[in-house]
Order: sequence, then structure tokens, then C-alpha cells
Amino acid sequence: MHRLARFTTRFPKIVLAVIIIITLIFGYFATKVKMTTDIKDFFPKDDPKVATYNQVEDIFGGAEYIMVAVTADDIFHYETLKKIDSLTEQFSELEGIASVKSLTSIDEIKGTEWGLEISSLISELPENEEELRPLKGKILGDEMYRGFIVSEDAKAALIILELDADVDSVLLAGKVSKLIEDNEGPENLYITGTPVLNNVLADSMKGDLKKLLPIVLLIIALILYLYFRSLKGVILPFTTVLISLIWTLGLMGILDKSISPLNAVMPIILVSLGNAYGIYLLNRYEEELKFGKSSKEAVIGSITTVGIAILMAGGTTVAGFASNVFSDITLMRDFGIFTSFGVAIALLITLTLFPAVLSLIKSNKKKGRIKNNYLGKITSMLANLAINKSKIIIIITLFLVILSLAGLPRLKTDSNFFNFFAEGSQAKIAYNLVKDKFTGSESIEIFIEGDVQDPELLKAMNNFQNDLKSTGLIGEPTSIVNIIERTNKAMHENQSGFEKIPDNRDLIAQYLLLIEMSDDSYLQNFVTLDYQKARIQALVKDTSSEGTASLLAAIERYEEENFAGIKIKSTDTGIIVLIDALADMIIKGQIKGLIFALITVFIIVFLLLHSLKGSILSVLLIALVSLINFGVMGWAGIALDIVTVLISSIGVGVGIDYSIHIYSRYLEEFKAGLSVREAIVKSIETTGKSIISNAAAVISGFIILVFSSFPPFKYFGILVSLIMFVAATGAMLFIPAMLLSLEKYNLKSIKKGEK
Amino acid sequence: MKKIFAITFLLILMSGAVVFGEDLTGVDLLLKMDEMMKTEQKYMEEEMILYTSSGSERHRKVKVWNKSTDGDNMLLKFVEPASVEGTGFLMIEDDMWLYLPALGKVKRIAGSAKQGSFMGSDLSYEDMEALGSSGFSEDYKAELLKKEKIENRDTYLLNLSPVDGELSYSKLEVWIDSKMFLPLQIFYYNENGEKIKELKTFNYKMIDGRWTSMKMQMKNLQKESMTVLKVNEISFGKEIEDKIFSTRFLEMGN
Repeated sequence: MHRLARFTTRFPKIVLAVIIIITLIFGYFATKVKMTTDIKDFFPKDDPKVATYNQVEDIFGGAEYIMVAVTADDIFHYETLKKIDSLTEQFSELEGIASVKSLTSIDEIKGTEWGLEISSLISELPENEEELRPLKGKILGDEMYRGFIVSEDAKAALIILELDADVDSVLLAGKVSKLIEDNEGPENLYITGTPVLNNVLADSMKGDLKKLLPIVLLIIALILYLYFRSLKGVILPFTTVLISLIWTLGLMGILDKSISPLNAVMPIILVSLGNAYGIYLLNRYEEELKFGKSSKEAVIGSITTVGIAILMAGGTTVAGFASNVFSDITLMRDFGIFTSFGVAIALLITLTLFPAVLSLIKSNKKKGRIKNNYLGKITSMLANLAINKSKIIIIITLFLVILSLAGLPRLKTDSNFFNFFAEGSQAKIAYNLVKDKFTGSESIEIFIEGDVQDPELLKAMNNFQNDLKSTGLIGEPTSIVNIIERTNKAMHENQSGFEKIPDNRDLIAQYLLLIEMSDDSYLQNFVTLDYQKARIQALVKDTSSEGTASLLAAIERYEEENFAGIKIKSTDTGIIVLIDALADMIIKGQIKGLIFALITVFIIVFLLLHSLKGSILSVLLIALVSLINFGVMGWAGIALDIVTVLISSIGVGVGIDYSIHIYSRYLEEFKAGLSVREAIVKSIETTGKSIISNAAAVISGFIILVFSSFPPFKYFGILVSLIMFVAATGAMLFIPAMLLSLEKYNLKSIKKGEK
Repeated sequence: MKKIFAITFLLILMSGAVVFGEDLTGVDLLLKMDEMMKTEQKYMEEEMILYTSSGSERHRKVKVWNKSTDGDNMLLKFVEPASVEGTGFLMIEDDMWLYLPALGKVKRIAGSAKQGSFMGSDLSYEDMEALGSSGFSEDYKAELLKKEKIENRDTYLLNLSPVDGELSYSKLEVWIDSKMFLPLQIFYYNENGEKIKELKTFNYKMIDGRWTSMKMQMKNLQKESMTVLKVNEISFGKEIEDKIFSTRFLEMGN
């Protein structure tokens, strides 16, 4: 530490130049950082679930959809149908769209008196009401179309855009949205589907950052100014934060990583936390100045005294964030790596840039800043509480712990992107419309491997589809089964009794050949050329975690019931399956990460304090804080999702600092000869002040997230603020209370021993 | 009229032979190619193999009778796989029928199917007709671009632009072998000027006095799929009776 201080103060210009050059380089790469909202990016590259998803996409074309809903008083109007037709045309021409399904483009197998025809459901748009009526009756009466492509009340129609496998779906969603805007009116148009939601998400994330980051910076600047009453006191910590932000984004750019919904909060975190180290250092520097030292001496003095503590406090924060490295979720791992890196950089800059700059500027021997009397009053009140009401404090803590434990079973996980959108937002309205009027906007894909021309297998698939539909969780499933049934009916003069799978394998093969000869593209969505692989596709009504879980359970049950004894292999995939898998990974990662964070923090604290009691107490407090966080989430119904999952690592890494500061001061005073009681009062009244101002700065940074457009970010802001508050209060009340109780217990046992 | 045309044609042919093709225009070359490939009647046994980008394959073995003396007629019977053996497909001009032995019935297929691909392959009906019976000369204007060597063969590279707008392609590039007058390679371009298909021919044999390619391969560059057509047996000489192009014959096993 001393050597570092010497070096930076001796060659301040070199230090400055090096930092500026590195910042410029990182700054260049920072501009290359892109946004991602692709769910596949959350998974490791070799994840089997993603592999299955990609396989189905490769074989059958995309499994990602953009849904456009058209609403009008009655869809079966010439003008409205014409609008649907024109939209269908326009969408088909976009690059990256594999197919467009709508009332005017969907094909149907028709049995005619002379043979078979595969042609459009509506081959020619009827212009008058008379011709429209039978068409309406026919389409609404067919369960293949009702609720799928047109709503039951005929007030809404759906246009389903199937995307190519390797297309930038978010970019495409933007183009489709643009087309929608141009075609609006008199019908209302709505757009949804994962790529669209992701597009909105990416846009809003950018918007949020642009809106919130300046506010956070401003508020922190204000707090810094109030605390230091000098420009230097604002600019130096600020520069640290900005440099760490630029370096971190630059590293992401160099490693070709993207900003995701998950690490979108990272800049806010770095800004809120990064300035704290500078505060401690500047504080000490001003104290040293007051002793009449020169600027340079004061710098060296403050680095050598508080340097270690700053390093340790930063170390625990880095460890807290690094705990995310244990997650199976790739983006969470990235978040851990880059946030740790950012915090470490903030530390490094504080310990190098600060001394360099401070040694360059002449010390203007200013009078110390105005003592804040409010802070003094608060800390003495807290000290009083800690000393006199220690039993009550422990009882209250116990009560909170029990309450939190009771809240744990209520804690839900949700990896669903759809909850990222606030009620009333355009995205949510469209999503709900498609969900209510139609079967849903997300699909489940069941990938079948076996002899797809075998009647037994096809019948099993049919039973499976019927069983699944009867659960009410999905809309009409479609597969090769429906095609063969319809062909069979068409070839038997449209007698309804023939809408079934024939028993003759050759006949099935010949039907398929017939369709191949008529229109092969009709088959390629559902079966491979060699008839060895097929897919069942259905739209899912309830895409919440519970909904998906019960659907996947139903699928598994009916697969077992229907596919027993048949040579068949089935695998489920689709965006919702990936989302479901993500929820699992969130929980596992959270538990592993928390354990890692607690152990690492314990080691760091022990190295710093050399006190087993202090380390255990500090880690105990922080474990309780995490527990309370989960308890609050449980009771408040806030789900553990890909954003709120980050809270506990921040809680552990940052929250522990308060305990460290209190306990190290307590030890210092205790060793200096004060009694336990006196030492506690002294540490709360002195260190308590910096804890309060630090917590205030951190909380005011995070609380700004309440203004985010995303519910998870709001919760994130509130919860981080809450646990910072709890951790700070706990450090000043719970730890002293425990120290006192332990002392009493010790005294008693000593007395007992004496007797 | 036909006679005059035939004589002119013969003259052109001869003159070409005299100057070793040096003075042949693009139009002449295309006519020669069409003449080499067009037949009034043809019987073939061929294999068709489809490949998709994801590695899936489909094999079909068929017998085909073609006759174009009185309109375009085609009868196609499936031989393999066993499950579709005996299935027959009949095309008389734009009308199409299919016979399914397992159903025991002949069914018509809507004419609109002719706009799509031939048997789900990478060749369209339009491609099949141009290569098999109708030729290119009527639909395209040819321009000789240059001479080029492809796989050690001397070729003429022609640029073909459609005469009217009813065709699927905006441009074709055809490499015609300078001795056999068979196309060695054809590139197909869509209306945006992008190359969408690539045809290559292989394995040339002299059959009944004319050069014939025994293997053709069509690549669809957009779908990244490929179709291979292998001719196992072919004859141009045998007389094909008109009566076999009937639904009655379609139902008969042979």
C-alpha cells in the first residue's frame, strides 16, 4: 500500500497518462457492445435443450413466431379480408420470414367431386355479404381455424409469421412493427410474439438506461456535494465511476459480449457502488489535511491507513458478484464477471488516480466541512438503542427471521419474459389480446422420431394430441396426423367417418406421395423427406411458469400412456421449454452462488479482522439479510426471475461492508482499552456516520430503478435498497446487541464456573 | 412451313459444322441444344434422390413415358419404395391424375399444382418441360457471351433473357458443350437478380444417335437442398402408343 502511494504521488503524470490511454482504448471497444434479448444466449453453447431446439429449427424451419392480430367489428368483410391479404403479402416479402399463415394464405386439403386439391382456404375474396356468409360459417365451424387463425367471435384474425432459423429475429420484429404502423386503420393492428417482446425489451432497456443513468449520476453528485462541499469531492469519485464503466463496457466489447436484460442494471450498480471507495479515501485525506500535512503527505497517509480497508470492502463486493460465476446461465455468469471486473477497476482507479490527482492539485487549506448534526443525533440514538434494548433487538430479529422463513415457501421463480412488461403497456395489451382471443402466441413443439408412415404410430400420435388438447392448456395441435386424416376424408368423397388414420401403411405412403405431387411445401413443416421425423405443433395458452410446468407434466404423462410399446422417441422443445429450463437454472445457481459468496466473504473478513467471532457475526448477519430478502419476495409475491436473482449477490458483497466497518472499529476501540459497551457506543457514533452516508448514496442510486419501465427492475431497485437498509441497520443494531448478549452469557458462565 | 423450317435448320447446322461453330450466334447454339435434348417420345427408368440441408433424404424409382407429338403427355409409374409401388401419375397438357393402388381409385390433382415443384424436388414443372420437351428457344432470347473451359470441356456461355414476363426466372446462364451441344451447367436467377438454382449434368452417353446426360443434379441455393436424377435406362427409338396416356392405362399394373 505504502509503495503504491509513493509511486503514484511521485509519477502522477505517468499514472494519469496510462489511465487515459487505457480508457480511450476501452472506450473504443465500448462502442461496439450490442444488445441481446435472445433466450438462447442465456444457455451454455452445448446445452442439450438448446441443441434440440436448434435441431427442430433446422429440420422444420423456425420455431419462433411473430403474431399480428387484426381486430374489426367483423373480420368477414371484404375490406378487412383485403387488408389481411395485403399484410400477408407484405410480410411474405420480408427477408427472413419462412412462411406467413393467415386467413388468406392458409392452404387446405379439399376433396372435390373429381379428386383432390390443395389450395387456399379462401381462393378468391367474395365481395358481397351473400358469398361471405357461407365462408364465415365454414371457417368458424372448423376447429382447425377457429381460435387459431380467426377468433370465435369473428372480431379478430391472426397473421402468424414463421421466422427462418438463423435470422436476427429482433431486427425483423422491428421491420414488421414498421409495416404495421404504415397499415394501421381502420382496423386495429397488434403485434406480439417473443421476437417482438424482445425487440420492445431491447428498445426499452436502452431507453431506461438513457433516462435513469443521468438521474442516478445527478443524485449521487448531489449527495457527494452535500457531504464534501467541494467540486473535487464530486468530480473525483465520479471520474472513478465513469472510468470503471468505460473499461467494463470496453472489455465486453473486446470479448464480443452483449448487454442483456440481466446486465442492463450493471451501469446503475457500478455507479452506485463505485463512488463509495473514493468517499472513504477523500474523507481520510481531508482529515489528514486538517492535521496540517501537505497534500502529498496527506495522500500517502490516507492510502496507507484506509487503503487496506477499502481494498477489503471492495474485495467482498467483487466476491459477491463473482458468486454468479457458478450459475449455469451464461448471461448471469457474464454479469458476475463483468460487474466484478467493474468494481475491481473502481478500486484500482481509486487507489491510483486519486493519489495522482490529489498530489497534483495544491491543497487549499480550507476549513473542514460543516459537521452534520443530524447524522450525529441519529448515530447516538442508534448507539443508545443498541446498548439498552439489545434483547428487544434480538427478539425482533428472531421474529423477522421466522416471518421470512414462513415466506420462503411462497417464493416463486419466474423466467418468463412476458412479465417484464407492465400492465397497460402496448406489448402487454397485444400479448393479452392474442392470449384471450386465440390460443396463444407461443408454441410447444413435440419432436417425434420413428416410422411416420406407420398407422400404429400415427394413431398413437393422434391419441396423444387429443389427450393433450383435452387438458385445455393448448389450442388445436397440428401435425402430419391432421394432414393424413384430411386427405383420407377428401379421398372418400368428404365422408366425415373417414377423417381418421387409415390402417393400411401403403395407403398412408400413397397419400403422402399424392401430397408430394400436389404441393410439397405443405408437408415440409411437419415431416422430414424420409418420413422418419415429425413434429407436433400447438399454441400454448398459459405461458407462465406454472402453466408451462403443468403442460410439460401433461405432455410427459400422455407420452407415457400413448407411446408405450411403439418404436417412437419424442422430445419437447419451443421457447417456453427453454424458459422453463431457465427457471431451474436460476434456483440452482442461486443456492450455489449464495454458499460460495458466504464462504468467500467469511474468509476475507477473517483475514481482515483476525477474529472468529466477528467473522461469524458478520456472515450471520448477511445470511439473515439474504433470508429476509427472500422472505419479503415471498410475501410480496415478487418472483425470483433473471433480474431479481442478482439481489442476494449484491446484498452479500456490499451489505457485509457495514459489518466489517463497525466490527473493525469496535475491535480497535476495545483493544485500546474501552469496555464492550463503550467500544460499541464509540464505533456507532463514529463509523456509523460514514455507514449512513454510504448506505444513503447506494440506496439513492438503486431506488431510481423504481422509475424503470420494467417491473423486475423496479422490484430490483426496491429490494436492493431494502436490503442495504437492513444490512446497515443490522450492522449498527444487531451486531452490537449480539456482542452484548455474548458478553453477558460469558460473564454468567464465568460466574457459574467460579461458583 | 414445317419443312421449310426443318431445311433452314439443317442448313444452319451444316454451316455451323463447316466453320467449326466459329460464327454461331447465341440463338443458333440454343436451337442446337434444344434439338439435342427435345424428343417426340422417350421412355426412361430413373431414380430421384432428394437431399435437404438438414441431411434428410428421399429416394424414388420411377418409369416414365413421354410423348409430345400431340401435346405434352407423360405417364409416370412408381417402382420404389415398395409402399408406393404401382402408384401412377398421368399428365396430359395441364390435367393431372393420380392412381393410388391401395385406394384402388384414380383421382385428379388440381392444375394449380403445376406451378409448384415437380414431385417435391428442386425442379419445377417449368424446369422439367424446358429440359425435357419444350426446350428453351421459344421462351428465351439467347446471347453468346464467350467461350469457356469447364472441367476440361470447351463450352459456349450463353445469357438467356425471357421473352415475356410469365417465366419464373429473370435470367439464365447456360454453358453448352461445344461438341455434344448438351448443357453442362445452367444457373437460374430470380427477379432480384440473385442466383437461386444451379443445374449440373454428368455422365454423357450416345443413345439412339443422340448425346444424353445420364445424371443431373439441381441445387436450390436458397433452401440449400439438392435433387439428383439418375437415368438407369433410356430409349428414344421405341414407339410409344398414344393409348397409354389414359386413366385406364394408369390403373393397370406394369
